[in-house]
Amino acid sequence: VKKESRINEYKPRNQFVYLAILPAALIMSIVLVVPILFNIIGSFTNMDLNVPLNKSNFVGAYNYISILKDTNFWTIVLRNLWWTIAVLSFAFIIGLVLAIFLKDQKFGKFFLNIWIVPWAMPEITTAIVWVILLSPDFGPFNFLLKNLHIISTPIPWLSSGRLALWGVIITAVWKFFPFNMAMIYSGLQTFPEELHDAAKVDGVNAWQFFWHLQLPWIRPVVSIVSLLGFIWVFNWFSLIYAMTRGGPGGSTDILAIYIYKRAIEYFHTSEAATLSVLVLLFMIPFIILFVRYNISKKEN
Amino acid sequence: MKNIKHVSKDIVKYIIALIITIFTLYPLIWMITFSVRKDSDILTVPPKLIPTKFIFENYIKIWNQGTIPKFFINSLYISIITAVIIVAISCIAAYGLSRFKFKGKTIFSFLVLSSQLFPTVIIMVPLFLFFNAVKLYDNQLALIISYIAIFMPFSIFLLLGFFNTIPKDLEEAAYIDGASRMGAFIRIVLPNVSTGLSAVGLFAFIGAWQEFLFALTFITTESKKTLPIGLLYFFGQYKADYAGLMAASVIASLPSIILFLILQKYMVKGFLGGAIKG
Repeated sequence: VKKESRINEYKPRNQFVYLAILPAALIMSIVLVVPILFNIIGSFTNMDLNVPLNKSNFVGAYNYISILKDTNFWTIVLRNLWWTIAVLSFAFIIGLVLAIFLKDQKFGKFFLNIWIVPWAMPEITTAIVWVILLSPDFGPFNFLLKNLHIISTPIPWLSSGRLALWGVIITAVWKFFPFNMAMIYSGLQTFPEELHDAAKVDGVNAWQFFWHLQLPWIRPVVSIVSLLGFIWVFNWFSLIYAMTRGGPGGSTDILAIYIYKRAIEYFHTSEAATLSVLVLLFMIPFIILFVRYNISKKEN
Repeated sequence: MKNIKHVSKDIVKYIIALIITIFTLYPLIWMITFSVRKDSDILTVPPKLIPTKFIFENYIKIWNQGTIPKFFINSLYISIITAVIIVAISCIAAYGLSRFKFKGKTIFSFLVLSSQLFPTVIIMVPLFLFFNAVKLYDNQLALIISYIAIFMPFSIFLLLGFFNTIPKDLEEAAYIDGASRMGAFIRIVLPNVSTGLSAVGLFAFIGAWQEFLFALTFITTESKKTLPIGLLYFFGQYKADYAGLMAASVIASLPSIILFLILQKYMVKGFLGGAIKG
């Protein structure tokens, strides 16, 4: 109580703190909050790139109805979910296995720093290199599969509508597994040594040890990794755009790419605004989970 | 007997580690080795990882001709300005958040936390129209403003962790010695968060260096484009000059990779926060 009052003695006038917060609050409001409000308003109008918001007409829920009725939209939503789940699960499993593999190694930290490189590589150079790696004519990836007798003829990973999404998924998993690995590794690092020893004494086998002790221990890490991963991968624009631009024939379009195309290539800004609102609505539960998680963490 | 078993187990582990290393680094190694070989030595069947002859002409060529140096300088300029402004703004904001109670604190904290996860694509359209309206479209200032906003929430969040670890007693001791709040902030608090400040600055730099969507959308004039977008067009136009393309890719990748490896532990800490016990 005494300490509290002493701090209060030095509690400054309020102006200072507002001055400190103001620049951050201002720029975040202009660039992050106002655009969302703009999207919400714009989604109920017929604005487009040639008709600005103030000259457009109110069209009620027309944009929402026409989008939700469009089967192409639902194809993209399903593809978007499938892409997210595929990338997340592969990256998570690889990350988990490698983190456990590295955990008690003498050179664990050393290999961790090397295996993290894909995460560090810029998305554009990742995309360029992988487009060449996956090429059917001279790409090493096809060459490897052929030599392992997994395939007999080279696969046109990115130019076939049926396979293009897989080509991008392979690249994305390569890029994204290190994030999972590094986070899980950090979580495992704090696993108490006594528990490990006790388990050994009790004759617990490796699987039981993992399932009943390690996994519950890293559960908070697993939830935060999946939460962040879901939001990032679901909205991952740059990698797909740089590799395929959503093609061939829209076969790698996810919502992020679709929004870009509708707005920038087709000028349908009200449609893009509506799509943005729909994506935001879908993201809100995840964002709230993230905020709640961080608040509860602070209170502990 | 036990010893031999132990050693052979170790060897197996290292062989596995080596194989994983090859798979993980292959694209990067491939990029580097292709950037130092002759054009004729590139698209061979079967693909060769080690070039027959090492040459550095590709680097000299793309540096002396074409637009890559211009893109490089644009990216450098935008990233540095973004980083400096982010450090300044997020430093005082995080300090305010860490030390004071004020009206609207909950809303501000919520904004900082939630906007870390904002998918940038959902604000792309309004920003595009906004910059158009205020005549900042096709101006690098539009990129700088957006980058400051999108990389700031994580910066404030990360710095908050650093500020919260400085004991208040340290500052109080300074006040008792007659220091003003500003004086204590500059002489006591800032030196204690210098690691955090450099980490935040480098994060912002990497973020701006790699950013793709806004750079693609807000800039149309070739000479104003950033390196990622420059590379995308280079890739589209000069499909034949793979060696040059790879040299440019190496130039674009190395700053990111080096800074990232330095910052990796702060990144993991920042994302995990209290998820790690102990």
